[in-house]
Amino acid sequence: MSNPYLAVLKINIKGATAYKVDFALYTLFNMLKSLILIFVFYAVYQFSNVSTLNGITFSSIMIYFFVIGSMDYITGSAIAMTLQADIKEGSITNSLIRPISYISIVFLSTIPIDLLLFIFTTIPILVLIYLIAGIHLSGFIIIAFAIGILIAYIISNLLSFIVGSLSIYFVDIQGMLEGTIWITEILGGGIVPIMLFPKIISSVLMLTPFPFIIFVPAGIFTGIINANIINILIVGIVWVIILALISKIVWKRVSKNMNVVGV
Amino acid sequence: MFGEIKKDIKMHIKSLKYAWMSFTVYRTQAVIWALVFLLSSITGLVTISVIYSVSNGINGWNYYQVLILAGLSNMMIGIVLYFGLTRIPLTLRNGIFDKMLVKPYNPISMLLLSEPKVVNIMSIISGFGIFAVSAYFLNLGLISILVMLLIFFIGVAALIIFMLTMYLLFYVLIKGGKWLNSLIYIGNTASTYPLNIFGTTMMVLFTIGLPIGLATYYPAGFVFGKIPEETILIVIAFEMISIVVYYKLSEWLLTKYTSGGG
Repeated sequence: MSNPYLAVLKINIKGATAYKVDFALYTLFNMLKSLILIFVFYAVYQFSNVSTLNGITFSSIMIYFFVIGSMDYITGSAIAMTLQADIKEGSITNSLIRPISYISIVFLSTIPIDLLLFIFTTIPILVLIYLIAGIHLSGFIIIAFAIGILIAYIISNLLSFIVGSLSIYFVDIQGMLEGTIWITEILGGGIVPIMLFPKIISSVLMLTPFPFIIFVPAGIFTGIINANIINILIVGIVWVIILALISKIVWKRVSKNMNVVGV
Repeated sequence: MFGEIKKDIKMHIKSLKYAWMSFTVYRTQAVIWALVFLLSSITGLVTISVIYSVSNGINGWNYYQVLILAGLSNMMIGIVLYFGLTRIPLTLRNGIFDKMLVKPYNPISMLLLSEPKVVNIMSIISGFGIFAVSAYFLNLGLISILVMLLIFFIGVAALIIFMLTMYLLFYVLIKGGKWLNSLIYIGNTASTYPLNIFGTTMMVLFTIGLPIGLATYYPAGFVFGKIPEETILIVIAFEMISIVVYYKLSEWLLTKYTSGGG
């Protein structure tokens, strides 16, 4: 008898790679955004004639943008959209009667795609960055970065899950989702490293979950974050626990109120 | 020809009414959408403000001049998304376009005008807000603003027709085009800054390859005296020619369309 979890995983891998050229081009062009921001900061460093901005060198900022570009593929969770589609179209009713929990189906529908992206885009890009930039990565940094990426992935998915669960109440949550993505990008260091913000703002931001999705892993890899790494990762783990608890409470509440619209 | 345009406008107004009703049917969500899009300009604003607060900024461009670019860029993406361009790959792939083909309208008009995404009007408004405030601080005259907006709108039209052609081309070639969506967002990021910082090759690419510069950098650069009159005339001529050429190409590519099946 075949494993139902494995079957869902296989189906989703096939679905994700159905349009291979489209997938490859999408992956390639996604990196261009980093290149644009690198050009912008190159112009800024050149014109200001400085070697550092708030203690960050141009080479660090360049590596930083490439790293967040490579991570973009795994931190953009599709869970919220899956939940919304299932609830809005009513297909959640079919999923609820399957011999596998609905939550597992939702996560298994996104994990294979993310895993593919991680293996075929994130890792090769990171290896390229490491080889070209010639940065020194100690064993401690590699482990801390791996933990940072895992925290980023879990937080991003949990946030997406919480927003997606709200579609029980709001039916259409795309605006909220766009808002979350947009807030994460600004407050998480997706457009400028958080250290370039005024000190008080960056300190407050580090207490929120957003920097753990982008800034923390990229900062550890590039060396922008070079002190208190363990403490920072512990705060990230605390956020994972808090968001997991919130997700559990939210799902418990929404499950009770499930009212399939089927539009 | 005018009869066709009138018919298309009527169809668009009806589609707009329908889209507006669909959008407002989930009221809370509509308000959230509107707020998110209204505040969407903040991304450019934050980046530019941070850059100018920690450095001398970008050579030859002051803070408000770059904000003008950010405002135009936000308006540009708002207009492009309003016409539902990013939805085209799915529309072609999942059979929705087949239904469009049986309606008594031009297929290109159907693709661009029949499913407006009304929430993007908020991006246009917020972009215009940044543009207007910056224009005020720069003491720009009415004529300068009108000239800038005129070149901007022709540039946006050229960009829309170009992207439509690309979506059709890649549907015909690989039955895909989702990657072009990321190109639009990359273009939007790039157009927030002066194109000359990207070097000659990228500048040419963002003028001809992905003509985002036609809508933002050139109109702003011209009004700020960074681009000579002769260049801007060439740019306007290029925009006009692009619109005609890409429209004709789109018509030809439509003859190569085969159903995605749905």
